[in-house]
Amino acid sequence: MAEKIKKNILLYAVICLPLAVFSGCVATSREMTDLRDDIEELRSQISSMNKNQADLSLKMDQVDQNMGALKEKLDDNKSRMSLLSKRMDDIHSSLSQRMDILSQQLSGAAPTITTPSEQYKLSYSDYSKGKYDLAIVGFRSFMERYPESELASNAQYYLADSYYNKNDYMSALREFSKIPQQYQGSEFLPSAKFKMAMCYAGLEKPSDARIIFEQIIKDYPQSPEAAQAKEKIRPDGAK
Amino acid sequence: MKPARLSALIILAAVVCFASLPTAWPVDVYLKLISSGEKLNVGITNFNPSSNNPKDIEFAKKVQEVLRNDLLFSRYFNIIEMTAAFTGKKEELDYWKNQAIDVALTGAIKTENNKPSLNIRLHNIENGELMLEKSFQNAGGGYRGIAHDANDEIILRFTGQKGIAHTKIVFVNDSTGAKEIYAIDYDGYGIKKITSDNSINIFPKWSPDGRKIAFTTYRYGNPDLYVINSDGSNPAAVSTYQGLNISPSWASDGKSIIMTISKGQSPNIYIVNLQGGILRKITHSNGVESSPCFSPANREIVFVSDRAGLPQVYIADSEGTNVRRVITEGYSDSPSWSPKGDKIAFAMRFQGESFFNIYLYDIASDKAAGLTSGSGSNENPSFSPDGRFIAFSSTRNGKKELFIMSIDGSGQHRVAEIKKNSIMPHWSP
Repeated sequence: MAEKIKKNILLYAVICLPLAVFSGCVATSREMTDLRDDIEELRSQISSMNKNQADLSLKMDQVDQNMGALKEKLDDNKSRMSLLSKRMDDIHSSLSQRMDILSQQLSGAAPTITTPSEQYKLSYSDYSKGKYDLAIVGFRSFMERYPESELASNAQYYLADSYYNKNDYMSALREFSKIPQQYQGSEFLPSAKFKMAMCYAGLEKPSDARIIFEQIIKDYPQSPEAAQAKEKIRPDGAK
Repeated sequence: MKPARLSALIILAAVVCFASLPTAWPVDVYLKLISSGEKLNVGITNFNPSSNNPKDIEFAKKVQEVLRNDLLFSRYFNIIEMTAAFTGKKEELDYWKNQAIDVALTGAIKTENNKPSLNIRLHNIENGELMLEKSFQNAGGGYRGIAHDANDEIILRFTGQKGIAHTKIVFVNDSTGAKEIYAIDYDGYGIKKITSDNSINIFPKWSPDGRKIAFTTYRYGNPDLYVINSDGSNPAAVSTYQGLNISPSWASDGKSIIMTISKGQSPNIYIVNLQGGILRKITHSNGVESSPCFSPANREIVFVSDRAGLPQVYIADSEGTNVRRVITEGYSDSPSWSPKGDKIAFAMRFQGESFFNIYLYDIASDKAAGLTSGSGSNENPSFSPDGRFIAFSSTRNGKKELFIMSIDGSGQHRVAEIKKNSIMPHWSP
């Protein structure tokens, strides 16, 4: 009997051992599956995050583009506004000119008609053609006659730039520095400051130039002037 | 020596007349041309051949025809072909005056040592005075060369500015199946192939001295910038950065080129020297910045950028600062600065339309006027060196062809019948 029980136990053992081993296998393979599932899920999370990120960066690009487009529209409006105020200037001056003409006619002198924007155009056209001496004379007389005009800051900038283009850095520096002094809200401010720095560079005062370049980078970080200023102060860049 | 001295004297006399006698005839002629824009009536007689040999008669005829076409092209003159001879006699003057002719042009061909030369005379019909007499040697250009020389001198005499009869237009043509660069005389003759590498060669631009052409070639896979002599010899790499090296434009000293380079990132505008060394980066944008062009004084640049959402024309100082937009309503491209400095031509199409048209922007008055309309797509304007004409490509006859017009948009005509498509014209200096 005991012999029989022993045999049975042995039989059990023979049967159960592989079962036990097998059940261990079952556990490991379940864990494996779980792990695989986990990895799968993580993967899908990552990919959806990637997708989100791509969407985000696309959206950022779009926002960027929209911002750019908006800025340009704003510029459009600005230029329309300035066109309007130029017209106002012209109307204003043509009124006073008509009065002048009337009085001239009464006194028998020959009348001449020019509006501020016409005179500005004439000088700007000289500037565009590279006739800087003529442009300087023209812009100067414009500044004298119409110091309050909408175009006064433009005239001041291109007067200074005419000197700059003649490589007369002393005079150019003098005229450019009037823009931050007299036309604080002018859209020419970053460009004028950049040119001031360039004048200092031309006058071989690199440390003065550097101060202004750094100022531009700080004050107008998004401007093309800041980008150029960064190039200028790069150690390997042209001074 | 003698004729040279004589002509020098005549020029001197003319200068003195200009300077001291405001009521004398040269000033009359000058003002008539310039101030009112009225054309001068030039009567032209048959040029005297050097002999009665049919070959010489034919030669004289050809010279006369080329000169007549040059003068007509300049749009300064009306040409009246006269059968009556002109020797300066009183009754001839009266007769020509009755035909409303202002100036008589006579010519004679002489042949010495097998080299033909053209002698021309201009007489003022009003008083019979000789305004200009000059001889032109054949400098290798054949009958067309001496006729062009004579035209340029006549234009110089009347306007103070040299004529443009010797100019050429460089362009891209696809008749071989590849895109190759060609040059053609401004009057549509003498077409010459410059590149033959069976690849894509585009954006040809003359150097300021007219001896070289810069262009983009795909010959080695990447769009690289090369410079080639105008006779097609000696192609040399300038800018071969990975990515785009396109849309070049020369500085007026011929020592640097402004162009678009991408280096595998956003295309931006750079100034490079002829060895491809970067002298300056002009734009720093994440968008597309392209098609730059210097102003004649090199102090400003005009270029195209899509920073506003769609491609627009911008002007900046040559440092890349003081950027201002040329306000336009549509998709703008390929700006070209006038040699006189006061205008910029560009192509624009309105959103939703597929046809480009050429516009002329007056910088000082900030206004753009359309020059072409309702005749195909018109693109890639390029100014003549005197700033009075614009070459462009147009699809008005079904394929892309070269056209020329006056800067007021008048006188639009095809340069020549050329096989297949011709694009991207650029007028030589």
